[in-house]
Amino acid sequence: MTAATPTRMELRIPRKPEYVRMARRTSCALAAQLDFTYDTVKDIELAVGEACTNAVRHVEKARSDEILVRFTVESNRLIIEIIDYGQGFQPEEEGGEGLGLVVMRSVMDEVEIRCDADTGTCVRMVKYRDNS
Amino acid sequence: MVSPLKIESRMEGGDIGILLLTGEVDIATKESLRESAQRLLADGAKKLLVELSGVEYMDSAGLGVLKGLRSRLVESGGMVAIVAARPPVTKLFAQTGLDQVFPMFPDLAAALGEVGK
Repeated sequence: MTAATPTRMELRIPRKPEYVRMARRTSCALAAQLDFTYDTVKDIELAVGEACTNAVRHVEKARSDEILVRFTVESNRLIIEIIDYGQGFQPEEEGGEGLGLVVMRSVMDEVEIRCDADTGTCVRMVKYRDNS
Repeated sequence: MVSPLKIESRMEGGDIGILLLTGEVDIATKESLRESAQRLLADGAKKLLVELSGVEYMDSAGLGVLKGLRSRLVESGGMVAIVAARPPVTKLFAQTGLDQVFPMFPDLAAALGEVGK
């Protein structure tokens, strides 16, 4: 797949633990199609699993029953955003469950967490194709 | 929905509980792991061997359960060991520093040889 202009794909999953797997598997399929190595495909799956798990776990007063997973394919990188439509959480609030963020940061090239009044927390992760 | 995690459990040598996991350990399946382990603890397990050769995926949700079990068992002089983890799972333990916390063995025979002493 070449991407002179960014290609975008969005997946909405119910905010339930059993659907996190669907987001993981979609990320695997896309990353494999982009010719990431097997190890990197598994890293991307892990990062998506962690981000979606946080979205399920941290949102008690969410404005939506869904989580949005957005994939943007650019020529040299894959950008993944997980948007929870909640009230947002700060990484330091994770406490004992902070392993998820540690994992995300160790397997992705960039991880950024933004909180917004409209969309809640957005975890934005980038994997560069040259680094695969 | 079919569970993507299958768990077999057994006791060995009086105080060793063995969990054999196959499939995926994530937020959707972690409670099954916790419940299976707690049943072994109720049966008298002080040492827990978690065999992961059949685990294709594990994330921090699974690690959290294992950390909790370890805390509980270490308090009473017990332990939790990881057995036959595949490379992606071994990598997960290393990324989180937990490879320095949990004893890790290549197979059940090696684990039982050491833990059963």
